[in-house]
Amino acid sequence: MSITSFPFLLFFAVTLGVYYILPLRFRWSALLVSSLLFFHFSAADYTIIYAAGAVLVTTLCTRGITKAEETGAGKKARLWLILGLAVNLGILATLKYSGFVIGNVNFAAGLAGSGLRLPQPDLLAPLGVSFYTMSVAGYLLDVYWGICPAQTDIFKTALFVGYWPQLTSGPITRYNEVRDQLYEGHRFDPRQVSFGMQRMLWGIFKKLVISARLGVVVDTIYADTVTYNGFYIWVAAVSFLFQLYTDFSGCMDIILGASECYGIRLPENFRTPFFSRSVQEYWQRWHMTLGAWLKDYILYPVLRSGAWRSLTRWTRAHLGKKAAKQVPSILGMLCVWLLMGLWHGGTWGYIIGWGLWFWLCIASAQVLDPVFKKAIRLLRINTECFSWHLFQSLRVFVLAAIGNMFFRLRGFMETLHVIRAGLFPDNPEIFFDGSLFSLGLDAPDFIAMVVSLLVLLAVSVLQERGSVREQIEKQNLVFRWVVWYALIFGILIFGMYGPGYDAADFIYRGF
Amino acid sequence: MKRTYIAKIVKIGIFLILLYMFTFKASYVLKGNMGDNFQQSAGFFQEPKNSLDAVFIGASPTFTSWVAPLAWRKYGIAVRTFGNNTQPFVATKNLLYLAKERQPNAVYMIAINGLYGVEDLTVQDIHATTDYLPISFEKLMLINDLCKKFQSTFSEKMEIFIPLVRYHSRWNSLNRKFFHDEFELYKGGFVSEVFFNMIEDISASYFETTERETLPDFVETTLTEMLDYCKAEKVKVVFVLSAQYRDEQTLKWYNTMIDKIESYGFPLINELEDFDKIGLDAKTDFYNEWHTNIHGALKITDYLSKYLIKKYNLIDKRDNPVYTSWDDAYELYSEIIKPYLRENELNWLQ
Amino acid sequence: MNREEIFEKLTSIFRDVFDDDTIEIAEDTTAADIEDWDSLTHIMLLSAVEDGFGIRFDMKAVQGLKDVGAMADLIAGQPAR
Repeated sequence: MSITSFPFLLFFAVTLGVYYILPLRFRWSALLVSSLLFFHFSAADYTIIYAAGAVLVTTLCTRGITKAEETGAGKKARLWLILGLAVNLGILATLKYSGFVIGNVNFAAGLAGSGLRLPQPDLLAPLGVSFYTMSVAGYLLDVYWGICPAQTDIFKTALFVGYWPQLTSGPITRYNEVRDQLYEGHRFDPRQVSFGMQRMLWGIFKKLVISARLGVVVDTIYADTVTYNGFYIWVAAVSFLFQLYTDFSGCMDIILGASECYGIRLPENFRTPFFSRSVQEYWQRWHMTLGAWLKDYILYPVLRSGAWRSLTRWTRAHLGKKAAKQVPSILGMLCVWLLMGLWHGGTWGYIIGWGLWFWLCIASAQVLDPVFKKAIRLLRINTECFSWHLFQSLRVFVLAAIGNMFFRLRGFMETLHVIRAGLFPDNPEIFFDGSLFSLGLDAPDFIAMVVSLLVLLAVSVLQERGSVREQIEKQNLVFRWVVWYALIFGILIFGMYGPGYDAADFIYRGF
Repeated sequence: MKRTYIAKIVKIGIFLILLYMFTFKASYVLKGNMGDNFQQSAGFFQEPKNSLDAVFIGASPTFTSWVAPLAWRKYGIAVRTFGNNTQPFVATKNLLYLAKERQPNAVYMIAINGLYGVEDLTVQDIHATTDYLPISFEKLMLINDLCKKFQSTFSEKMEIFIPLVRYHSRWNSLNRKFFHDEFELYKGGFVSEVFFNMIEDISASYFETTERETLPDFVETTLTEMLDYCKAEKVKVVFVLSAQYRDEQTLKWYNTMIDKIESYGFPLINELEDFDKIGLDAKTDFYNEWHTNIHGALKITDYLSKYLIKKYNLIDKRDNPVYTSWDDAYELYSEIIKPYLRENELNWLQ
Repeated sequence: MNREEIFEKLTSIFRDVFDDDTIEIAEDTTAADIEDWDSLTHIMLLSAVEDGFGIRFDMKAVQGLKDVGAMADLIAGQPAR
């Protein structure tokens, strides 16, 4: 069930109505039932067995950890933790990465001259498994470290794991962030519900009006990079990054807006990432919950482990103090980025293309930092002005656009090939001779896309000043209504949905 | 406390009403002017109430066999066609009800040939039939009927009830025509190169049968309902079987329908039986097996006009100032068809 | 160790980690106040503090540190190794 489809809106309206009709203490169970329904409409029913298994194992393990820690049996607690992590991550790994592993085994076997060829598995993954597994793993660790108490009720745990807004694309939530909100029923607050709906509208606008159009351009160009070479590749790379952003953040707006209508505030995943000054900052403003998860549950434990401390000491002894400050953290980040790449997709393209690229950007920025600082001083560059911020943003955007080419084109070698096709462009005329209007969008559609991107820019700038919905709320009625009607009709008329009008369909058919 | 509560509900109500009105208007504009569908549907509703002598309801064989402006010029009768391309027979009933509201005293000529097969109808056909009908309970019932009978999917239903779903992408070809209601200029007179120019010899497809066959359920019920309605309302109705060469099964169905109509005592003009009387020539008067071209249409128009005038004592209204739009229609239409007329047809243009 | 001594030692550790001898810290100093203090240097700082004081923070403490004052509290509450 696509979250921009009419059936979804119907589903949401009904579940919202039911939620607020029920008495306060039953409202959380309405959410659980809604989540089961959502799962039913969006995925093959049998795959719920994985999610159910995750819930069961997690409840048992967290109870085990809590009991063991109460009685001071540290080792036992550890065992419960490892069991919980192994089962959940194991399910995720099997469902998502067994194909990748087997492919590599086959490849290696081929190299070694063996005739071994393992069959490729054909496993259907349940909705949201990548996301809820991370939430669950984080939850297990949090309970083990004493950061949050365990949830003893299996149904309440089920709601935490399978809360339907999170099932499509996250955000990856921490138990501490939601435990005070999920289970207490929320009173009907018209302002909150209307804010939630406004946010959903904005998300639908981003997806149907902006992202869908960008997608047409990107698909056309990447389908044929022989014809569409040179500057077309740049157009595709830039468009894809915008497409990814509007699609993903639009999805988040719909999801967070829907959740807000229930009275539950989920964590943000985006904070105007293109205003970042560095690639490192970019990853603190893009897919924020994933970055935070990797930082708290992978990076920190790794950097604080005994092995890393020995590495730091060795580096200090052999390569000097300066290196000791950089090398361990850079290597630690390498682990994180390879995992990031792996999580996004089990292919080498993601791991060593996408993941490694961003690691290189951040690592080199860190290593070259003193060089940059010197250059800035020598060239007397003012770093406190708009033009410098603009330069930094553009730099981040370009680097991210290149990195995300691996995301879009998937194959490592294929992406390198396309990058090469765009490397020394010799066709600047495409920007002036109307070629851009033959990429699947005719002139009015292309212009509509550009205009909607400008609207997005304006809203993003306003967002820097605080909640845009609150800013609109302060205005007078006519203005507010004009804004909402503009948004609604922007979606109804300019949205790319529905069967689409084709004059050929209506030519006189004569019966 | 209660006051603000009520004020809020009122505000939401007004917001939603305005939203509906804007959506309706947007939908109307974007449906735009779509040629024959507009002409045959919207055109009918542009006629002043109670101004028509007769209404000829049917699908494309109807408007390719009735030349309204020329009938007006020759006989002074105001007779319009009403109905669209690929219109299923099922819709004829609802169109009859809709038309009767606007033209209660007119004679109704109802074509009984139409699409029958479930497989034949597409969502575009339902659009063609319903898009230009004004909003009314009848229209909703018609859409519901059509969608049910032809097993439309949920998304197909959505786009029929809310045409904006299909037409919204036409925004990028908006021009002046979309924003100004065109007045239907030819009183349903069909304008098409194919209709004017093309001649196909269909004599080889001739088939005849006296057998009958049970009608499909929904055809049976539609016909019965219409016949009952005409009887109860004492409608001046004459059924018409258009001159078409069709397959064996369809002809058997036609025979069954004719039996039923005659059992009610209503008059029926069988253009296939009267083929020679009308003067039709299978070699020159058709552009395909189901449609007459302009030449065939002129013959049928003459035949039907004489029939109507004799049977219903229609008055010649050529001097009536209320009907000047018909004179205008004749002026425009005759200019268009002049180059295509044969020697013996030029007397239509006197 | 008393509060003053803790702060003295912390200052020298901060200066060493951030390579800046002018840094001054107070109870309410946070990451926003020191230029290079980001999530990466944060963890290096914590490791340096742990090594410097011969202690180990647990993960719960690490995630909850708001400012230098909270850090000092944590150090003061730790048994020396």
